[in-house]
Amino acid sequence: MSPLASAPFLVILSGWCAGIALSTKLSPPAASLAASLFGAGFLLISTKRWPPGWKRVLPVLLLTVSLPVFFMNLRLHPKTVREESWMGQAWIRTERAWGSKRAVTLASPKGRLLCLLEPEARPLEGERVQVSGTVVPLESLFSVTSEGEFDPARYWRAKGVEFGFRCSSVAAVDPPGNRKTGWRTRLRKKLLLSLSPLVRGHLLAAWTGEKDPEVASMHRRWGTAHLLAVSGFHVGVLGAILLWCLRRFRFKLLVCSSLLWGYVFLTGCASSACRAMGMIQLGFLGPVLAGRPSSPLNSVSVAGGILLLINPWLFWDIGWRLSVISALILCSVVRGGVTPMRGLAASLAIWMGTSGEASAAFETVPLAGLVLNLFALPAFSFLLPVASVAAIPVLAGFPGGWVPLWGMEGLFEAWARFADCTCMIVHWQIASSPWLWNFSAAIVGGAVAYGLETGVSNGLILSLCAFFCGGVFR
Amino acid sequence: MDDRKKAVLFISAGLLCFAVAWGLVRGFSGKWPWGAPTGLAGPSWSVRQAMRATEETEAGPPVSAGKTDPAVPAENWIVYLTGEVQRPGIIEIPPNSRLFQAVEKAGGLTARADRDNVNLAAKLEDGGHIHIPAVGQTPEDGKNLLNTVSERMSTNPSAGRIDVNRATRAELESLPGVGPKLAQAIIDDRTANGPFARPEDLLRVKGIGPAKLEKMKEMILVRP
Repeated sequence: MSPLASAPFLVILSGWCAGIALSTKLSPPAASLAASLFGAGFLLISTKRWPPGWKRVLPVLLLTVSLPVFFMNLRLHPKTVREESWMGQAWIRTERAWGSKRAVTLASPKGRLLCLLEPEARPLEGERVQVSGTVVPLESLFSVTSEGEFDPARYWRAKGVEFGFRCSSVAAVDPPGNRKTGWRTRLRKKLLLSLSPLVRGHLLAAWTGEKDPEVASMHRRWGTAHLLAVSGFHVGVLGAILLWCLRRFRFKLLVCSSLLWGYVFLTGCASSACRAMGMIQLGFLGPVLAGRPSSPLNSVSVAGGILLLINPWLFWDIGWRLSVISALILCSVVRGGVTPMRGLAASLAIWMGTSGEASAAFETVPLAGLVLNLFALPAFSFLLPVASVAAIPVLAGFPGGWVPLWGMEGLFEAWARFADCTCMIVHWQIASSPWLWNFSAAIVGGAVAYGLETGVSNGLILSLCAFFCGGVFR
Repeated sequence: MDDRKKAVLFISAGLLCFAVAWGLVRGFSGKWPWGAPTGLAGPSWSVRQAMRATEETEAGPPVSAGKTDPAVPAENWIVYLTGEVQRPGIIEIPPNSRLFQAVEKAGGLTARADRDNVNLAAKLEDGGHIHIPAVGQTPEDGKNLLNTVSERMSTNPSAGRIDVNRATRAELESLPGVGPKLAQAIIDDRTANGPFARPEDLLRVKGIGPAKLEKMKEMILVRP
């Protein structure tokens, strides 16, 4: 098998990732050349049997790697800004806790700005505000970070922020609710005021993409924090439910796609959710447009690659990275159908493949996550949809609606006790280190080689190359 | 050529690609003539422009932020960084940089640096000398230098404010609650009754009440 035949976009994505990762070290022409070499190396090692006509396709493929990398690297050079005072009106696009402050992104005539406000300012998503202050380079809002540490400026650039804003005054002009974000504010308020603690924390994450600090810290302790980030798991579960409900409906794919996109928008268009939705969309369109099912590995690569083309900074977004890595491993390991053994192997491989990235972001990863994730995915694919249904009577104000809600609260509590017990037994934490990172890269390389059916020797070589080149992607 | 030889050849070619890419990274890393993406503010005022602006500020109308001549290329500042940084010495930084940017250029702070006694947000000036003290070291010299820099750089509270006695209609419109009509009314009033002596004099303009004045007070400057 060859990626040229089964997943050509995987070669392109690998080259793009290398090219973007090297943007901090090399000039755009050198980075695009290096990206082509990485792509070519990956292709040559992962190909066991060359398909007919590969000599004609190869130059086109390498050009598809190098040219976009060149332009993406040009875009990655941050826009320069001189400190400049500004006042005017802006929309609050998002707001979230950031240490002891609230991080607010503003859509303004000056571009997309980030300002860190005191919690008393009580900014709300969707509000139109009159602000005054100073536009500054985004990096100047944060302290200096070393290489390999979490870089807050990159995090916010991945969210589309262009500049920082030191705000001296902020005042609401309109009440929230006059934009799509206003809906999210109203929904969040309703969930916060109506539901019991554990159901509220989980539904807040699943419906709006917001994290309840207490529930988030519990999941971090268990190593299941990914369940609170809207990702392929949530979109996939909802998609499966919708497809089952609409199974007799003629336009089920169209309706299902529209509803799923609506869900992705409601949850704030997280990169992981967009990647999953893009992949599902390609899965729906494959049989319609090409007359055959699309290759899952190719679909993951296309969806991840499109997001990078739209915003290359997403390469440093932990949501995008974990989502793409998990999806690549899952699609590779369960190729040819899901069996209990393959499911188990995929769960272990995903944990090992993402532990380098997760430990770099959270400093440590709990080993208990290795065990808990085996149960967490099936458990939460039941708990989240059922809790969503159980919450509706309370949210709608029906009398007696609290009965199913407290039942669900009990189930979440039972899960919490089980997870805490597991954490007490398996209490070790794995600290972040370059070795763990390279080990994770080797697991990803090995899993992808298995998915591409490269054979044992080629797979081992690819895995070793990933181990030694993994540091490039840090 | 048999299949086995072909496979070995392709794998060798693949490994060669990785090796060349690695060599490229090693050989060209950091040698980017355009300047690699960094956390530095981009081209800003040149020293000449800044001096001219200071002279103009002292002599007459204030210079509002955002008015620069893009045709004149910006010149980098040079500062002398000593003490607990990885690479002490002469550092070249973009104009209007802050201390953390100079420290970043010098490879970052050492493990011995006294982080609590260094204001990394301090604004720098061209030709300055900054000393980063070590933990336990009496940081008198370094502190004095830093304080001098930050004090000198932040003693211009009028920067960015709008002088209501000289501002154009467009500049006045950038004040909160001031539209085209009110901006024209302010200009008419100062033409008819002479310049405003203090911010409260703006209350004589029809359309400006105490609440509106309070909102714009921090944004305006009244020069005779």
